[in-house]
Amino acid sequence: MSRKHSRKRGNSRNRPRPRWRRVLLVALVLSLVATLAYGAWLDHNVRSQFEGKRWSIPATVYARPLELYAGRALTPDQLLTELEAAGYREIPAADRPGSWSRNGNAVRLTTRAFDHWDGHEPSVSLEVRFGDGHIQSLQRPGSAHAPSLARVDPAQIGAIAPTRREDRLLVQLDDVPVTLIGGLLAVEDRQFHRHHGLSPSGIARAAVANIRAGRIVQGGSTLTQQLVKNFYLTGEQTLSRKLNEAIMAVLLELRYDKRDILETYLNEVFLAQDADRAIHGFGLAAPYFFGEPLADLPVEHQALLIAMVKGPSYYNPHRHPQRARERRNLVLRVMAESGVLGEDEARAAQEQPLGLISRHSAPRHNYPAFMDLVQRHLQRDYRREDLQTEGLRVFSTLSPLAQSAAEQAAKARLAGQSDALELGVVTLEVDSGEVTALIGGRDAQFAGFNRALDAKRPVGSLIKPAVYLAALERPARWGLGSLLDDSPIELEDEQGKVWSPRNFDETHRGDVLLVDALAHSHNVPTVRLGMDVGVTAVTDVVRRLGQVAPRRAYPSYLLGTAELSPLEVAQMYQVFAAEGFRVPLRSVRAVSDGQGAPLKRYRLATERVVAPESVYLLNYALQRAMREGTGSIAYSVLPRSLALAGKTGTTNDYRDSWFAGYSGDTLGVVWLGRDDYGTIGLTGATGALGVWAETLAQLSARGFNPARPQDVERVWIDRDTGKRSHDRCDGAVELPYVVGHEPERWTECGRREHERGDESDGSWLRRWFQ
Amino acid sequence: MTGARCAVQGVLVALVVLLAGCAALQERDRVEPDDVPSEEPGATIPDDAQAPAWEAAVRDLMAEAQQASDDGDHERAGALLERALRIAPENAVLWHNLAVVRYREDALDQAESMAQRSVSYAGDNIELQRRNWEIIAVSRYLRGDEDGADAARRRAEGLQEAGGE
Repeated sequence: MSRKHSRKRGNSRNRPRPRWRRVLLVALVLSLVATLAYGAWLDHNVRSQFEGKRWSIPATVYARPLELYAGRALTPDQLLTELEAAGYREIPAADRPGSWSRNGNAVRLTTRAFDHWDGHEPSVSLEVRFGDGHIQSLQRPGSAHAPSLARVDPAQIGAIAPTRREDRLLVQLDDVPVTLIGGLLAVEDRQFHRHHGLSPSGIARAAVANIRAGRIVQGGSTLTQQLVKNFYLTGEQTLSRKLNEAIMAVLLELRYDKRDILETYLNEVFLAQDADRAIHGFGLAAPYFFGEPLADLPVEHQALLIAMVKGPSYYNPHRHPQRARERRNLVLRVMAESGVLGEDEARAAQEQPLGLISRHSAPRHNYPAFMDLVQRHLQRDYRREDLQTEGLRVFSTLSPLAQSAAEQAAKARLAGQSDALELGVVTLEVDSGEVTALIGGRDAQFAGFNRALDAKRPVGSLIKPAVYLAALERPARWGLGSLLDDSPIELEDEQGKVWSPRNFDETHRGDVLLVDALAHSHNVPTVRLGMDVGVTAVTDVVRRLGQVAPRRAYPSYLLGTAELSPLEVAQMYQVFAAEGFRVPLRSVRAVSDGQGAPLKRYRLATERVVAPESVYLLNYALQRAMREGTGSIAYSVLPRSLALAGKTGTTNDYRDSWFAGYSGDTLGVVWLGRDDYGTIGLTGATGALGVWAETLAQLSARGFNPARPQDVERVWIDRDTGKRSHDRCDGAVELPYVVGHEPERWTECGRREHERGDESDGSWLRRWFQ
Repeated sequence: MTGARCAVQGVLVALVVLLAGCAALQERDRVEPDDVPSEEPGATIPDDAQAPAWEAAVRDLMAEAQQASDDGDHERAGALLERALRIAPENAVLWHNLAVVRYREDALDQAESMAQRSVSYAGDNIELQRRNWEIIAVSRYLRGDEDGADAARRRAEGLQEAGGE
């Protein structure tokens, strides 16, 4: 009682005290509110960043997967070219995913598991035996099982990303080797599974370890704190920053479970700088440093990555190999001490070299021209931002084999030529319309002006097949044996001036057979033919071949004033190669999202745009061009047994050298020229054809042997008069004709032998009466 | 009038054929199990050039496509057939089966185109040609091209006679 009383009294005696208390109370409340508000703000920050954190993941573009099956045309060297492009390594046992070994005509390899757009393909070991340029057999080593077909995981040919960027390859926790996680926690945060964001004992242990080692071997920050630091904060070292970091780490732990935090950490941590690209996350660091996916890394590589966390630049193994190696071995020791690794395993790993892929000796192959085509293709269906950020997976049609063949051919043929000589190359698969290789300029590795797509140049004689096709589509008037007038002609050009086309060799031959006029690319008979058929009939053909053609064209159009890119020419000639069926060219087979769900497929589509009979006759003439006409020099590189069809093109003053041609499986278009339209002194045959022939020599396995349509038969024609003849007559050539449209008039010899033939042979008569 | 009736009849006949579709062709045509000796592992190239070594791969893909198509997964069936066509682009049966798949998913213009492609590779396989012309006839009819359907129908009937069955 008395104390109460006295206190009351005291209160009344000291008047200022209640005010002080009130101030204190207000201050407390205020600071509580402020702290709460600050905490809420931080919490909001943590949450919105963590959940809203959508790493911007560039779209990954893959080559087409190589299919292995007995009977496929493939050599061991070609297989190794493919495997190298896909980042496979030579290992004697070839038993690790992404490895191979070769023993003469046999290659053993182990594929990596891969999520194709149409399903998962597990890792398999294969023994591939070769012979005669083909795969003889395919087997699982140590098993009687012989798979009929196997798909090799495809090369990653590029990414679609903004120019200055953070790059990463997202991994899921379950795909990360347990030893890596164990090692990371052992080194960076032993208490990870127990603490709530902060770890006083961790700090203490780190301090002890550091003192014992005489240098900093462990950091005191928890992984959570490190993540917060990477994620939200700037680099300044202040007390308030430390405090914020601590609060946010605790908040993060309150909000999210350990797995989420760990997975985010594994993807976020900065590990290297590669020019304008920051390498974030273990998923990308693994292929960046070792050329292997994270899941396949041996422990010494895992340890090296863990070692780099502490100081990506200080422990950069390229710049400071000794330092990096020491720290790696320290990490391995810690891993052994904490039971992540066995002692022996750790010791063995410590003996291993760093195992880095050299950045200089093995530069990543670039496919800039093809990537450009893929991006243009995708931009029809996707926004640029989505391509750059959504982690899409793009399954393209690029064949590393075809690309390598084309690049080698271009390099060999352009060696020693003027630096100003540029080129564009397209190769594609005839029946599927899939673009397999693309070269946009002399330096195929350089992303510059993409001539394969953007150099629109006069096509010269490459237009001629359209002229002849227009004629052959009118079999009542023209056949391969029609005589064309090769005498000089005068026409009016665009400006109303007199234009008189000349033959390339400046001579005139009188009359020539239609088939020879195309095979030898004579200009004058072509112009005469085109004028007879009508220029509009020719432009109609060009449109059916998928190209834009002027509504009103001048006679000079018949000699190739139309300006087309190599890719457009490829689309045009694809129709001939596929015997009248147009197949829209494709560079992408399918796109799936970051989780592997298919988003879009680009299907094979086709349409008959030229009748089978007409295109068969045209192809006959284009084959003749290769056998004995303007393209015949191709057979100095290619075997005579390979049937080919194609056409040279040369423009005025030797400004453009073109070749477009095909075998049964591969179509190629090559353009050579200068960007400034200067003369290059090469014809289609002396320039582009060489690159084409060397490319096909590497690629093509099947000759072009179109089946003769039912309504086409072979008849003997007199070369000089174009009349019906007989194989027993001089100057007779056998040519295919549409049934019912053979020439009505006969040569004397032809008729005589024809009638006599029936009598003397008489086999059908005999058969008739038997 | 007669043309339209003829086409309608054609539709009915063709539908019956189409329902049998791929399966029937697979049994009878070129793509038959090749005789690789069972005790010898590895699909080695048989000496006779008539059975290309890749037939096993094509056959397996075709069977898988068949299954997918029967399950109504046309997308997958089409993709598998395209994959097989990259191995054997001149295989008329593959083109035909792709035509059937396109038909089943109502992509009629592509059904017709694929069938035409199959015809171009069918050689003297009269039965295969006939089935292709039937697909072409039905596809045209369903797209409202009755004259075109009639013409295709006549081709199919002509082949039936020529086939002499």
